[in-house]
Amino acid sequence: MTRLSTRRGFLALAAAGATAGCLGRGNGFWDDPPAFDRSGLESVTDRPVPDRPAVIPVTLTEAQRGTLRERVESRLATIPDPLTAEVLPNGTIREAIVDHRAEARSALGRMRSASTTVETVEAAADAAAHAGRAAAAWAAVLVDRSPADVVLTDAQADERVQRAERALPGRAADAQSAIVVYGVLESWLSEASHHRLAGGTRSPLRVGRDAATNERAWAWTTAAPFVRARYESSLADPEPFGDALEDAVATLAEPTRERLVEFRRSESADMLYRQPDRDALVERDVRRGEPGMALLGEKLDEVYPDYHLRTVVWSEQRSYPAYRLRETHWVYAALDALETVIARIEDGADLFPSDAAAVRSVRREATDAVDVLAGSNRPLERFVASRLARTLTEADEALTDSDSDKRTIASVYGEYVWARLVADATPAATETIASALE
Amino acid sequence: MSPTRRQVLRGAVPAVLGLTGCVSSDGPDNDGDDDSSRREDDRAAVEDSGRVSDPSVVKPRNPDGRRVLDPPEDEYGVGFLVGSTETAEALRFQPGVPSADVTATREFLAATDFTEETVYVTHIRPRSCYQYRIHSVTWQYSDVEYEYCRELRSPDEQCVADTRVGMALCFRLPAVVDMDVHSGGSSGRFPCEGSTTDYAVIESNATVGGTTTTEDTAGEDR
Repeated sequence: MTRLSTRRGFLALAAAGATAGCLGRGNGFWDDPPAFDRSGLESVTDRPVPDRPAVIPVTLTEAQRGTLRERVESRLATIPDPLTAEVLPNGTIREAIVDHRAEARSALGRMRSASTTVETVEAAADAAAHAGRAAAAWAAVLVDRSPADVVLTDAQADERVQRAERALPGRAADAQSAIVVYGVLESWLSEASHHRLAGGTRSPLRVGRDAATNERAWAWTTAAPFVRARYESSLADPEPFGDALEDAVATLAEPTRERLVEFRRSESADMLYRQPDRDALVERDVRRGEPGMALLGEKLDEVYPDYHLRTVVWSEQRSYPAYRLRETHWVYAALDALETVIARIEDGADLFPSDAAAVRSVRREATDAVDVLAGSNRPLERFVASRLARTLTEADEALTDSDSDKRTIASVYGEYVWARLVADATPAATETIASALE
Repeated sequence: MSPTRRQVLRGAVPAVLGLTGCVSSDGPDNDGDDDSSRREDDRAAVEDSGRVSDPSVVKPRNPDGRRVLDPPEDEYGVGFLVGSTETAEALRFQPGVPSADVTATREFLAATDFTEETVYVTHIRPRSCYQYRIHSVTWQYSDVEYEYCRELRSPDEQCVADTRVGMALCFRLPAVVDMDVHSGGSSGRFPCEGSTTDYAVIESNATVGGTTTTEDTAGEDR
């Protein structure tokens, strides 16, 4: 995540805190916020965040990176440069093409400077999407060229995604490694298949938008077998784990349902996998805008993306077993953390720190907990450490970038609390997944 | 209604024709060849309140972003009616409106039979690179509303991204409409469904040239 989007995210969370909570009466929390002693706030982030463990333990070859890069460059080469008003008078179409060409080039730059395989592929996918969008929009205004001449058609993208899906998961060092490594690849394909549902009219801008999803799918379906080949060849004795993962998905379906029932006892079966109403989870009469409620709402959004536990295991689903197990592991830990947040709110905590020392203390607890996970010999725990290290980094950036107003401080403090709680809950979640794999 | 307004609306027309019925045709866009017969059909089925599908409309633009047409005296509401040749001829265009748009609008007004038709004018400020397609216009009591869709203009039309222009929507209503327009509204969708706009209009190895005419959008739609 870029620094800009990180800051935007925290500002959004801080803003959410301003309106969070519809239960309270009288004055809102931010109408008369508590005092905050800022002494020492500038040094709260001095201790570094633990290094993020590599999710994929291999890199792409230069030839593989070249394949991803060449596709982008060849799409961009179909567009006149510069693209002037004399060539394309419609300013909206012209600027869209020029902007997406620039975005594609920027993403190629990120691809070159990426330090991990995941970052490399995600930058390549961004570059492919922007280049495809620009090239397809340009092709759509030409009498002698069709978008299908320069980007994947829907059918071609579908076929590539399906073929890539059939090849996963590949062989791995152990079952948890299979979940982590192939979980990433399957998440790419899952996103590609979801985005592939998009349709649209034939205006050049719509054509470009659809092309972006197809070209992103091209990058993911190209990178997935590259990563698989590199990973398998790095192992002395790789073993297949596809059946084991699918069996674990089936084994976990019922316990996962029961865990969701435990989290929301009064909820009907068909609502279990949908995002609960935040306010209904708390019985105490909270004040409008309490930071704890803002944190709860933010994390519910994170645990239930698009308001659903879409990727968690349920029923007899067999698709994307690695990705589903990885996310189910995360959800088990996150549900524990959510329950702790709810319990603290019920106990009267507003989750607003009284001073910089409190922020420093909870951050230290969080970094220590993440450090322990990062050093674990269990791949699932190292994956969670990588995820939480990113959360900590983003929180640090928000604290450093902002003018450190109280709302931002409250949001950052909440993120530190969350990272600590999830890290603490992760070993139990790992046990659950490991038992299902046995 | 003041005598002035009555004169504005009716001009030299001696009497309002007795018109009945309500037009609700969903026929295809008319290229103008059978425009007169279509209008004849419309007139046969219209009364003072009514609805017309695919109305005749001309859409002159003002690249400056300001109004296109000055309204008649004392007509500074949401829109105004033009009910006579004299009123039509007295309308003034704002400086900056391209001559092609002025000509197209003048021709539209001149082609209007004010003994049986009225022109309703309202202004909007669309983005420069988008065009409006009008699906219907409805008038009743003191209210005139229209339905539209919005879509990207052709690639070879000169326009500026993220810039709004002034645009007058001049509807030809197939009735002598005699009312004060106190309210107006619109409802629309984006993008247009089933658009027939052909966007593939540029040769890849050619320069189309920077034409500035807005004739295509100012031209009459039917």
